[in-house]
Amino acid sequence: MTPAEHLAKAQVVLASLYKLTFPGDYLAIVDGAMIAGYHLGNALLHEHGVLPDDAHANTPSKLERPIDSLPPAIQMAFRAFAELERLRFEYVRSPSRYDAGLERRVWDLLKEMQQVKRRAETI
Amino acid sequence: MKITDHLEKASAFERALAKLNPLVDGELYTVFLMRAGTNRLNAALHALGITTDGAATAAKLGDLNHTYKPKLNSTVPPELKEAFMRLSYIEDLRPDYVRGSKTLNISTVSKAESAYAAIKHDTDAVLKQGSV
Repeated sequence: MTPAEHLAKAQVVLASLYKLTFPGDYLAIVDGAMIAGYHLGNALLHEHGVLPDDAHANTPSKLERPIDSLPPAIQMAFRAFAELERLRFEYVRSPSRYDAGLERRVWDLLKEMQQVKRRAETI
Repeated sequence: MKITDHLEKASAFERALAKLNPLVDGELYTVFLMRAGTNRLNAALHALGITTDGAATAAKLGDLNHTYKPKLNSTVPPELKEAFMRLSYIEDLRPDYVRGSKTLNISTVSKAESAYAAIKHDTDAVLKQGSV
């Protein structure tokens, strides 16, 4: 997929996420945030020449290279993506209980990924 | 994960699904159907003693993340064979509809929802036998 196609998908996923609410939907939001992250992250990978448009990394842990070896401009986005992946393991794939700090954390991480995307567009 | 934890998570994803329009929110709709189904399947596998609700051992796997991961180290129990196939159908929607550029249509939504209903039916039957 092209960066533009990924970004369009990311916008759809984010709009879907905004229909859900903390705390009741915390599992779904944490899980869904990874899908938004997938599209935002892969858009950046394509734009910065890390991967061609027909190759994708499902998650930061499957990127096959460390985050600090990525182009500096996108490292912050991938650290945010990696933290979303960690949250998914902690909450979705493990026994879990909602905690009050989670809501702010998830939205901030998604905002960080989007801000890197917007900064990349102005370069 | 304990059976009760799996069932709580499955219910949580079902509640989220009820807030989404599959024709508009297809990406997350697909993922949440998969997640709810995976939790129900894991609950049923634990109830049958095929997998453990704790850490994996040499003899028994723990939770499956997907129908193929980790690969089940025993024959799929006959009472869950259909559920495995139905969950695999939902999982296979991801390349096109979650990671890819396609959007769900009415026909695919109907098939996915029928698949999940079948998973729920078959796993409920297993769990009721164990009186969970």
